[in-house]
Amino acid sequence: MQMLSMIVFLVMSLMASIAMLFMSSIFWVWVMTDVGTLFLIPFLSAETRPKKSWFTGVATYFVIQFFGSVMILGGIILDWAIEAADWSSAMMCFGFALKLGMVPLHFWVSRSFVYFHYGGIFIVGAGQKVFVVACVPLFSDVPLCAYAYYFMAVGSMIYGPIAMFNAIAVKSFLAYSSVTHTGFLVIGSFFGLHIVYAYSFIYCVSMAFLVFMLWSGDCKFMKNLGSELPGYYKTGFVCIAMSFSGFPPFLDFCTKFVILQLSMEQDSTITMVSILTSSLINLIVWVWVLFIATSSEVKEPGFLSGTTGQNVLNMSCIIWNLFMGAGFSMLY
Amino acid sequence: MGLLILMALNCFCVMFLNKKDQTVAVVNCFGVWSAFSLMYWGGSGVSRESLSELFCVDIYSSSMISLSLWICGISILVSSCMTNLRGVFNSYLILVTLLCFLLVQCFMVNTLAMFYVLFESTLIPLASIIGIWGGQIERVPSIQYMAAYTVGGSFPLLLIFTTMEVHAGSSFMWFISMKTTSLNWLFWGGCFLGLLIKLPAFPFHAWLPKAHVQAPVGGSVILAGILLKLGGYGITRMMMLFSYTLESFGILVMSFSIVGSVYGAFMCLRQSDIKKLIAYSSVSHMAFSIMGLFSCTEVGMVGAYIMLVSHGFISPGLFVLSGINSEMVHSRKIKVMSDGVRAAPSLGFFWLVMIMANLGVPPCPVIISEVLSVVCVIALYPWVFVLLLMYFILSGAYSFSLYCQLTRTKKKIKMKVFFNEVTLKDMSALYFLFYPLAEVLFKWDLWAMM
Repeated sequence: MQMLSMIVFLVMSLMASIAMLFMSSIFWVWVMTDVGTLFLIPFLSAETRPKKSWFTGVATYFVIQFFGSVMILGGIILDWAIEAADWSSAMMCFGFALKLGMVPLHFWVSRSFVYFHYGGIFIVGAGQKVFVVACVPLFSDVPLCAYAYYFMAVGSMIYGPIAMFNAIAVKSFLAYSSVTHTGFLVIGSFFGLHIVYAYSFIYCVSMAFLVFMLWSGDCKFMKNLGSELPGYYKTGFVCIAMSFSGFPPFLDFCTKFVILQLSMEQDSTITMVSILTSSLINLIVWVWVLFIATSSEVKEPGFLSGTTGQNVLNMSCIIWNLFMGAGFSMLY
Repeated sequence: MGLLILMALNCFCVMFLNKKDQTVAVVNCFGVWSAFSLMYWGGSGVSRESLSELFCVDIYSSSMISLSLWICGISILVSSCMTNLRGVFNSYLILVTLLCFLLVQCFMVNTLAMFYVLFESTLIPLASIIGIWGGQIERVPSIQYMAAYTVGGSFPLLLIFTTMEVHAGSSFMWFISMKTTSLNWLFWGGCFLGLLIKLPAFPFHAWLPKAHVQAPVGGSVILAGILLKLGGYGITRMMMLFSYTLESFGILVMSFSIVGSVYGAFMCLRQSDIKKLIAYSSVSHMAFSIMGLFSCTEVGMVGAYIMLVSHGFISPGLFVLSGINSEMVHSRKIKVMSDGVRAAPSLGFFWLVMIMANLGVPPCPVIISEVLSVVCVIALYPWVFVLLLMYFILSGAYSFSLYCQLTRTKKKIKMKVFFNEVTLKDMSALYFLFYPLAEVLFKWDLWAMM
């Protein structure tokens, strides 16, 4: 019954978020965003073994999202009442940036993620952010907001991998990974929404594989990843890690390369430098994660040693990361 | 393309063999592929047998392809004799074959974009080899160093070929030639930085000793034998693509290389770890290749390629010997390895031969390369000879010191060796490394333009 309720709330949140994409008025965008967030609360609260920690995570997430919504609504009302365009846009911009968890407004991301279940991490870290990022281009005609988003995105891309290095808990690691990719998504939004949708689709699928594997092993700490990650998923995890490292010809290299190419066409030097810096730090981090994940004191079952479903998932993950990069490059 | 298809088909056939036979089968396959790759060798210009939409091979590519196939086969041969490869040996076969496949393609492709992708992709199997079969916990930082240096250094190259794709529509290496005088330091730095790091050039050499120390014997053989040569080959192609002539950037690089050769030789003198010593000796030798390449003379190019190919056989030979010797005493310390040499005196002979080859004693082709490179550099500025003289003295000193330490006859109460016999099978890899050196000696002008 609990699983059914989680699915229902998730679907309702998804519907609200999709509806948000088709709204023409900023007010209704705000409404749908908030409705989507509200429906996520029960989903995030669902725990098979209730404990106090879930409350901490969900409460933090709710307070931050609520404050962000207040800022957005405040901006809308300010613009309607006294037509202070720049100030109202700045307030709304602040609200959306807080919801996205971009540097320097990222403080809540790790604090919340540590207490979420893995499904919640995927939805909040990947799924929900895709829809909120789609609101960023609304402010592209306000220079103050555009520059603010740009530099916050650059900061997120560079700070995220550094923070990942210092993560002790797996969920905290995923939180900062989410911050990094949010930066890439926002940068991509400056080049066109088609890039955002393509990147977010790829990111969501990759994160789904990653989160599922970590959930199946109930992984808690980075240092224990090798022993906690199931042996039949290790090959898939290695592929994901290599992809997130940015090694060609894996998938994540191709997506970052497309954004790099677009920034080159626009002669955006800061973007190019930040992408390359982020990629370099990310490489070092994921090599470290790869080593931890593949080291284990106990001899474990190897490749294709799980059930049919587990093997299918593992193979799908390998194929996705190894070959979809070429597919994406050809399509794009 | 025929070579790649042959490789793929052979690998498919080997999969069905008994696991015990697979090692011998793969080694034999590498021999067959090396023989097949000789078909691409010709004079100056593009090989007719290689022309296709994706690939284009000339003497520089074909020599590197043959070297790759030979060295990867040697790597498997020497690793099959070692006892320190944990786990399933078949995984090692797969990784080395995959690495060789990527390398051969890297030397064959005709676009800069594909070259870059394959150049970076070769890191993955090597990092896996070091990560899985490396000896110590420090292998993780060594992989990080190697990855960060290589990937970070080649980011400017990524930007360059992306610019070519965006503005020119293609990064085809054989016909696009930017004949302009407006290319500045930043551009040349971006072109060559990643490749110089790969070689490795002083002062970007820090990753190599760490990687060699942590890698298993087979990994060191491949790293020293062929992976470093990717940098030299890439430099050749970039020079061809952008019509590089003698620039002030090149003179700076040559200056660093001259200092690097002396520095490498000096560091060899101070080493107690045999693998680090061989690594620093590689830094010294690759400096001569850099000098030859950046001198923009035919003599320099010939000297550089003689060094690249010769070093590709000599350095793995040294690693093979160090692997056998260190397995006997379970230590890489030179002074401890002398116990192994005393237990198996034939090793002393082989050490002498390889050290002399490394030093460049005639008739080893290394001396030809060093002479040609010295000629190129002195033509630019004669007083450079002083530094090169220092290099020759220091290289003689560390070689002599190494041999003396390995063969010292100071009596000990008990020799701590784990086995005291070195069989023909153990040395087979070494024999297969000697033979091509003779070929290089007789065909040393192969890379001349005319």
